[in-house]
Amino acid sequence: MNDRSHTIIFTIVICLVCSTLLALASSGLRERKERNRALYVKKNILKVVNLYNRDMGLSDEEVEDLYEKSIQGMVIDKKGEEIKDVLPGDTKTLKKKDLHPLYLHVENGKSLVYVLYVEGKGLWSTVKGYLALDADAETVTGIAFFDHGETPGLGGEIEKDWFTTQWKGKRIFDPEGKLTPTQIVKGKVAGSKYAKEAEYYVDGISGATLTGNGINKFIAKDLKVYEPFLRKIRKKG
Amino acid sequence: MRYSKEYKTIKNSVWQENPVTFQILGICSALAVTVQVNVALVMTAAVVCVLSLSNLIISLLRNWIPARIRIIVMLTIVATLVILASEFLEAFLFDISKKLSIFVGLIITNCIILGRAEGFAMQNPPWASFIDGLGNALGYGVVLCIVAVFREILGSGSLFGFKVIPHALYEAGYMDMGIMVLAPGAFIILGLLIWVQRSLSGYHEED
Repeated sequence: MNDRSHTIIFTIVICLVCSTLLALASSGLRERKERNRALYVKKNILKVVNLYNRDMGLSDEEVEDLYEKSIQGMVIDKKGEEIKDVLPGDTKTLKKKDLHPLYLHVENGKSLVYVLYVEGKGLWSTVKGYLALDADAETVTGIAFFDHGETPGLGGEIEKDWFTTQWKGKRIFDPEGKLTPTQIVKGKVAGSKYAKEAEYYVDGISGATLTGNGINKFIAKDLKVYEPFLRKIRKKG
Repeated sequence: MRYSKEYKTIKNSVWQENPVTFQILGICSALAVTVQVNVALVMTAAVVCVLSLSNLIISLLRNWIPARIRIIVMLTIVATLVILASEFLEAFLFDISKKLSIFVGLIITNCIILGRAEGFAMQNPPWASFIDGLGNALGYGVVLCIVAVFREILGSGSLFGFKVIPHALYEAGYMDMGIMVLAPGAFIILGLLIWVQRSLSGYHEED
């Protein structure tokens, strides 16, 4: 066998063996990975409604129980109407039908917190998160970005507590009832021109202005989607 | 007492020729994943698996790998092993794999791995290559864990996630060192470690 055909055959064999191995591992571990993911999503929903944090040391079953007990999922359309008998599952298929998942923290039959799903482009990647609003449908009680591929230490800081805790208490409607999506500023809010209206702004991450811009854009866009629903709650309240 | 050849190889690559403190390789991940000890341990385990297996496989294939495309072949093998490792972490240690984020994937670009493949496994028999990979990975891992122990104790006051600094000390005004959680803290610890290791092992850089 000459040199060239040896090289080609060797390449083909290596590629086949490696890709087979990867395909096997990926399909063999899929079930476990999906279960982990589902649990991780639930943990994040519980986290934004302030029912769960890592230090509680709950086992997986306890997290599932807590979730079953306190969270209800529902799906709304763009007019803010609940679609009966549809549960939030795969967000991609929901999005195609212009439907949007919503989670409620319910206690004794009363909705305490509304959790909205937000998703959009950061700088490098699609960022996914949950934004929780108080029963008044106006005050942010928490936010969690649970899936992203931003640079660790820069854009990746969006998942850190110091960044997410400052969202608590921000208002997404102004006194006239206009939608005011919370915006990330460049630098600090305190001492800037935004300081007077600090309830609508949060501090930015230095070195990650573009990630912040991306988030600003999609939070504004997604809140618009949920706006009809939120207005209904406000009217009722 | 006579030591086996394997023991000597491993000792040599952990101590005199440690890839991090002697060759200054793998610094990027040594800075990134050393905030907590358990994360560093998992990273060490991943690197041990990838490096010893990649050395073994490449050494087994060394007489068949066409010289012209050897680097890309090595990369393919290393990448496959790294993806396998990351799949297993996602399936069995999900929380830690989230913390390691892209750094498991970046093992592919860790200079230690390709360096050992090209520099050792291509010329040496499988068993020796396997031991060489194991030794270098352990050398890397030991440094990783030492840095992580210091960073976790000084930066978060804990070890393996458990609080080790007594509560009374905090009440007396003690505060965790914020810098230790950040990358500069790792630089400082790593620098000190290199200094200590080099003066103990008597290594001098040539002028």
